[in-house]
Formats: sequence, C-alpha cells, structure tokens
Amino acid sequence: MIQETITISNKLGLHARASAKLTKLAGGFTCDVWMTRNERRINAKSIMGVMMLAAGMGATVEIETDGVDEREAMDGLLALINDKFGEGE
Amino acid sequence: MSFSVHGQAVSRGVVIGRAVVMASSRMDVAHYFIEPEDIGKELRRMANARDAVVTEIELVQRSLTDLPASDAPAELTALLDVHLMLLQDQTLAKGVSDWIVDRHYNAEWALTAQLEVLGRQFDEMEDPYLRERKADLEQVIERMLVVLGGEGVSVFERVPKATIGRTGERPALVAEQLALQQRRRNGSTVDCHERPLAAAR
Repeated sequence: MIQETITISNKLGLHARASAKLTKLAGGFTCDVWMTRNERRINAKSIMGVMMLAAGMGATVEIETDGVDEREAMDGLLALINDKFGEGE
Repeated sequence: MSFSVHGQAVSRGVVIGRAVVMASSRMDVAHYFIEPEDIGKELRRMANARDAVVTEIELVQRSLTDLPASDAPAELTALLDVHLMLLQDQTLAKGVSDWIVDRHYNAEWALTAQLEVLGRQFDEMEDPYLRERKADLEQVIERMLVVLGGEGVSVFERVPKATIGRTGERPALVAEQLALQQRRRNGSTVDCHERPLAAAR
C-alpha cells in the first residue's frame, strides 16, 4: 500500500469535470484507490465519492493505492493533479 | 392582471402568447412502501430507468458529434459525460438501492431520499463552485424520475393539451430549471451554458 498527500492546485478544484478525469484514470487500474480529506475516505473510482470530497483549490487530500499496480496508479494520479487536470490554471 | 418574471432566456427572440409553468418533477413523486417480495422488481425498475436515461444521453452525445465543431461546445460534451458517469456510479446506486432494500421505499421515493441526503452534503460545501454541482445530480435524478413515471417524453408533450391554444401554438415555457436533454428534445439549439435556466419563478 502506498500513501501520499497532495494539495489540489487548479483554480476550480475537484469540480465535476476534474472529478470525471480523476475517476476515469483511477478506474483504469486494478488496485484499490482511496482518497481522504477531513476524515472523509472515499473510493476514488466513484465520481460521486470524489465530488463529495468537496476539495477546492488549496485543499489537501491523501491518496492511497493498494494492489498490483499501486505504483503506476499513484504516479498517474499525482501527475494528473499536479498538471491541474490539464486545465492550465 | 399582469406580473413579470425574471430569469435567463433559453432561446433567442421575443414570444407573445400563453405561458406554461412547469412544476419541478421532484416535488410530486409517489411515496409508498413496497412489499418485501417486490424488492427485486423495484430494483429492476430502477435499473431499467437508469439504462433508459443512459441511452438518452448517449443519443444526445451522438447528435452533438454530428454538429459542426463550432456548434458542439466541448463544455457540453464533457458535462454529458459527467452525467453518464453519475448514472453508472456504484456509490450512488448503492445509496439508492439501500432505501429500497432496507426501508422498502418505492424507486421514486428512494431516488428523492438519496438526493436529499447528498444534496445536504453539497449545501454544506464551502466552495460555491463545487456546491453548485448539486445541479448535475439533480438533473440526472430528475430524468430518472421522469422515466419511472412513464413520461419519457419532452416537456412540451407533457403539457396538457387544453393549455395549448386551439391553433396548436406552442406555449412559452417557464421553469425553475431545464435539463439539457429536455432542451435537445424540443429541437432548440444548444448553447454552452453549463446550467441552462429558463425564467425563474
């Protein structure tokens, strides 16, 4: 199991479209992907869960990946968030 | 007597004529308890309604890809994508089916009960932009409610005939909110507002 903490840095935060991108990416891996914010832990393969994290710009979230491809999943998710979901701001 | 309503226009131009005020479909769903032996049947009703709305959105998506690029805003395509994902979301489906299995609610009641639970969580969000995404969830659930009610037709077809003039003129529509799919069915052009609104009451 890998655990990392990251700050959401895009202007709109984990809004619907960003949540959709994140959910799709997470869903492509076989490992479990969990995200936690303010003691709320959700399955990152569920868009409803990710939207319910209510993570706006500047929010800190914890990501956990657990399974055979946990490294690839973690690297992919961190890259997506650091890339501001490809939104450019 | 005259009064004015203020809101956002959905289509261009000026219309003079009769107006029809649409109530929100969420307000008037049937609430009843199902028999325990009907749980499976109710879950299937729910799954069928979900599949029908999925098909509907996929149709809209396909019709959008047929449009010239300038008329099919990427915003809208992405939004429909979000709606599809919400419909197929396991967390949402589990929350809804729990009301049916544990409390024996009918499908419509289960949907509105789950919308209330999630809606409250959205309302508590600090970020105003994220808070507004409740609208996406509401639109998806309202479409399912419409299908469950056997009313998978456009809003104009649901307007009682008597309210439309003898000449068959189409009334102006006044609603709290219109779902994207409803507008598409009416054949109006799609503009790229993320939250389409008709005149608010």
